[in-house]
Amino acid sequence: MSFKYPIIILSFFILALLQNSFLPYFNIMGVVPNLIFILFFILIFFSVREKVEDNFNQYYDGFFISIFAGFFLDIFSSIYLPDGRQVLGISIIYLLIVYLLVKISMYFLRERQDKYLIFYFLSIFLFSFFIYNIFLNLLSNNFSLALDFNRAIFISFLYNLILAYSGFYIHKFIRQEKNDNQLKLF
Amino acid sequence: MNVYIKKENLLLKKIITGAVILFLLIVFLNIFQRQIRNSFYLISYPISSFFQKTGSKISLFSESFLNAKELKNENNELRNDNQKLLSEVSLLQGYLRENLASKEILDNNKSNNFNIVLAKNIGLDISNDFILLDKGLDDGISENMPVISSQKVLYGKIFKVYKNFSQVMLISNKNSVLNVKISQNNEPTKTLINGAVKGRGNLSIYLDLIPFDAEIKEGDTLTTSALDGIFPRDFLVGKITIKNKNDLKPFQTAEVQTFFDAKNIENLFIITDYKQEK
Repeated sequence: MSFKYPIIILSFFILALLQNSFLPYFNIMGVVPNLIFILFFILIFFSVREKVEDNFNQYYDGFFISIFAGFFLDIFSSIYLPDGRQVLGISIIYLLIVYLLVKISMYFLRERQDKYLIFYFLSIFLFSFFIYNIFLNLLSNNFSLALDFNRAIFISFLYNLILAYSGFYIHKFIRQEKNDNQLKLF
Repeated sequence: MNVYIKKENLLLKKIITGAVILFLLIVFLNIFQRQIRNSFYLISYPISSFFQKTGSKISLFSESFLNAKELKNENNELRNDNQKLLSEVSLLQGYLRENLASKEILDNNKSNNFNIVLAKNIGLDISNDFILLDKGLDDGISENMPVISSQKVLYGKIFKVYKNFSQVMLISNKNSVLNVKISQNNEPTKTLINGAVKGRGNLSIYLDLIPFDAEIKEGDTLTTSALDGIFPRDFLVGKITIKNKNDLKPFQTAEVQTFFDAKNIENLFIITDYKQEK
């Protein structure tokens, strides 16, 4: 039996706790990194890159990751609807949409990825994170799509980008990829 | 072609099935939202509190390094502020005591209408029974003015006046003699008995020149009688503690416990315009 799915669930669980209990003490101007989103993105990014015969299994992985990532994001969420209610599971829908967008982007860029993977990774990550923040803003800002570009947003993007960059190499190390054409930064 | 269409239909069915399952899942999660959240928080509480404590400790530890210089400066500033505030508090407490004493004497002085000057006790000479006040000639003080407390307890009279200070001879001074009347608490209608309070030194006094046949009791209160022309009447002097009656002497004496507390008093009042009642 594969331990892949229980490990993914456990990882999301631990990261959710870290994000809400440990990292607030290391905030930068009130910004705490979204570790769940970072792990979610890393998993779907490398999952989409895999060439599999049965495309549905790939979708299944994507849905599974989105569901659990969305669940753990919402369980600790303190975002409320304008009428004071909370919706459990709304992040699942957001992350599914992000997953589909990532899949579409990866499809169009599939031929160039092997050489400069880190750039594709970071750029698609920024795009996905931007989309996710817009969705978050929908709930907390009376369903307005406008994002308030203040200093906190930029710090949030930067903070998450740095951690995503570290996560990329950690995942690569774990997966033991042997692509020698990978451009190494720093 | 048929295979392709079949595959497409199968994929569509799977997508629809997935969408329905997702919808049902979200509905289920929201129906039992409270219970799910509660259970989740209960399970995660031990780990979450461990992470919180660890995060707090590491954060404090790193902050102490990063902010060491700022902490030191802040500490010094706080220490200086604290000292300033302590000094201000002490000053304000002094003002408060002055105000309370002034209020008290004004309440007590309503019937007498004396002019009084507030003065601070700045020195006590126990061996000679003198105290030093911070008011003098510049404040309109002159010799023989009575000195009392806010509770109308007699302390003494101005003995010597300087420009900004004055010396008060306490009633316990060996050279002090003042006329008093003895009030018997349980028999207020009885005829008042007059006597003389003399100083013994070391802040103690005794009662003398009580007529031999006068009946005095322990606990009787002594107040000024105004017969000497220096002190107004009805200011508190002391209380009889032990009476001494000797058949060989023409007068009775008694030990007196004073009402004044020269060691602890801070604010006193000098009566500046007392004139003997005619």
